[in-house]
Formats: sequence, C-alpha cells, structure tokens
Amino acid sequence: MKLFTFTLAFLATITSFGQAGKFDLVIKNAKVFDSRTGALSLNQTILIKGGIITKVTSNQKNYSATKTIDARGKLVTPGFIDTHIHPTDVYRAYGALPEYFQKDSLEFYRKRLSDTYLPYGVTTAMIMGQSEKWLPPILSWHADPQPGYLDIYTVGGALISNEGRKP
Amino acid sequence: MDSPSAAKQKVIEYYKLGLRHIKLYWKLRRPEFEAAFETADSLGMKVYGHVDQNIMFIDSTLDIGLRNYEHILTLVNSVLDVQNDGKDFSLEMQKYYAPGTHF
Repeated sequence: MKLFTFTLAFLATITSFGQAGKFDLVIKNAKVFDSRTGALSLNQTILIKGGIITKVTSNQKNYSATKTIDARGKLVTPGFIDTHIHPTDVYRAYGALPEYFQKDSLEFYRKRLSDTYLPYGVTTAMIMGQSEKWLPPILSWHADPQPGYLDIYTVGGALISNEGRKP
Repeated sequence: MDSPSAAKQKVIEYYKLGLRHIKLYWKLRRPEFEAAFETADSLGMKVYGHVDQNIMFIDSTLDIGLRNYEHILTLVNSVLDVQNDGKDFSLEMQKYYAPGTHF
C-alpha cells in the first residue's frame, strides 16, 4: 500500500511538472521574419500554446511540447494573405462546376479549397466573387475557422444591371 | 438589378447574411453602382471595384467614393478609349517604331 501511494504521488508530480510550461507546438531553429521591421532573425524558437504564439526567443533550450518541429534554419513567416481568389478557379480544375455544393460533400469542398492554398503558405484568402448559390456554405466556413483549413473572407455574387430595362 | 433600390436591397440582404465585404463589378450601371456603394459604405462594409469595359470609369467611381480597385490593368480603359484613341495610338506607334523609322 505504501509503495502504491508513493507511486501515485510520484506520477502525480510528474504529471504536474509535465503540465507546467508545456506548449502545444514548438518550432525550433527557425529563421523568423518580422513583418513589422522587415528584419530576419536566425535560430529562433517559436512557442505556441492554445493557438497563440506566446513567445519567440533565441533561447535554444529544449522546451516540452506536444509537438516539436525542427525548421532546420528555414524561413518561418506569418501566414500569407491572398486578397483575390475565385473558388471557381479551384473547383474547375476538378471538372464541371456544381450549381450547389451538396450537403454531404461540404467538408470535401472546403478541403479542396484549403489544399490549393495552404501548401503555398497562404492561410487566409479573400473570395472576390462566386455564384450566390455557393454563399451559404462559404459563409459557414467563414464563421467557423479551423486550424487545418484556409481562413476565408468573401464578397457576395456579382451584381449586374438589367441592360434591357428602361432607365 | 432593375433599379437603384434593388441594388440597395441586395446589399442590405448580403449584410444581414453576415457579409462585410462587397465587390462592385463593371456590369453595374452608374445608378445601381452608386446606390450599392452608398448602402455598403453606410453599413461599414469594405467595398472593392472591378471597373472595366468602358461601362464605368475611375473618375466617376472616385467621385462616388470607391477607393479600392481590383484588376488594375483594366483601369487603362478609364484613360484610353479603345474605340477612338486606339487608332491614334497605333498611328503614333507606327510613326516612331515602324520598321525603317530613324530619329
């Protein structure tokens, strides 16, 4: 019993030590670009917790983290923003454009859009026009940003004057 | 869009759907363009323009208040009327750059 209590106490201590200062993601050996100053800093460690960059430090110690990425000196920048995209260009590459997105394929459409931009470092894109019939799912993606998907902003459909009308 | 009030209603409808950005396309004629811009602007929406095809020109859209322009290459149409100025432009090009010209 004594041994059991001791073991329990020991494990609890380990767990609490493990919790303290544990990060969700650590990116080490990163070349960091500061978009405010334009400066590059080498061998930086980026500490991320709860979706927020809590610190960028030149301290090289081994931080405990759920996941650690060794950038091996590669450039790490804030996500790029593409200010003008059209989802038609993305979906057309896969064949004829659908009139509506089918309800059971929404995740699939969202993934295709994300897969087109995320590999280039674009994490946010502005949709500058699409069919009005595509708006409801796109607005739902906008309202519910997810780490694995592209962040989206959008305009509505194209407004067109009726050329045949009397002025 | 059959009227400026239809354009206004559409912008309000988009705003209620949660849209905060709007692009005004060259296929809008001036009365609708103006109504859509004013409505969107009064709702604090960000407005972008695609001004093209000699339907709307940048001097009028600047007057209306539009400040963000997409497809900047198409703004050439605002200063160069292809129908009239195009011929003069090619004559000028011929005069200075045609084979055999020296100056």
